[in-house]
Amino acid sequence: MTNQVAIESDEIQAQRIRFMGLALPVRLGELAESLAFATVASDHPKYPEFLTRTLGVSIRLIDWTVAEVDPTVQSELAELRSHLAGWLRDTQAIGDDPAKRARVVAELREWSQKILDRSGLANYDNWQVEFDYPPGIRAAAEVFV
Amino acid sequence: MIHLLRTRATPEQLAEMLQDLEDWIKVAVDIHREILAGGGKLHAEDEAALLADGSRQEDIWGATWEPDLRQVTCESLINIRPRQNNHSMLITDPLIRDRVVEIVRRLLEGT
Repeated sequence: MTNQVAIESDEIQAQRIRFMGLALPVRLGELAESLAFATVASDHPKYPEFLTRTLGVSIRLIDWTVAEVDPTVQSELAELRSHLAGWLRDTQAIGDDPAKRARVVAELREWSQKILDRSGLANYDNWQVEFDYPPGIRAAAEVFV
Repeated sequence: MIHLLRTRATPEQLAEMLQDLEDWIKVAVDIHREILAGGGKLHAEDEAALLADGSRQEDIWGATWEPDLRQVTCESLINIRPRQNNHSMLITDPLIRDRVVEIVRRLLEGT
């Protein structure tokens, strides 16, 4: 058991190091993508485990990003984290209630779009910025410019 | 582990691609060459594997395959491509989206 915990911890640490190596806009973009993907949980046969996993990923990405964003985005991320943590505590009840599920999906979609907007990655004017992204967005941006 | 697939994935390849994220596989699909790279933690890593193999940026699109639902979600950060008139993470062109789904299903599900 102890070994299992140590292995998981190492994996998360490796994820964190890799994630922290990305430019801040890309980290926010990855968070937006993660929130959008969490909506898949709504129809998943392994609900609520799947929702727990996807929300957990998003919470980690927030924790690894929040310290470096400006105060406005910081408070938005704090609010988002609070929502995610609440849903995480309530996964069974959400799963039992189709209306709640639909509401969570809608809110995840809204938050995903908001965070993507904050990242600036979807803003046409920002595409001449070379984000340090290996290579994805950066390669696309170079093609675009 | 990232695999570059030109033919249907073997069970071993699927298991290895699931190693990193466990419940889903992030893929980048080359809709021109009809191949995919999958198994990275980020879509950008899969995209990098295709670029290194000679794929063109404009042919590569990101998706995520969820094995329990057998669902392909065409939503990824690498899909934001203003030059190709795709301004969101979702692939908005239904022809491209259908092609991505078809290639993913063929190479990961064998259908």
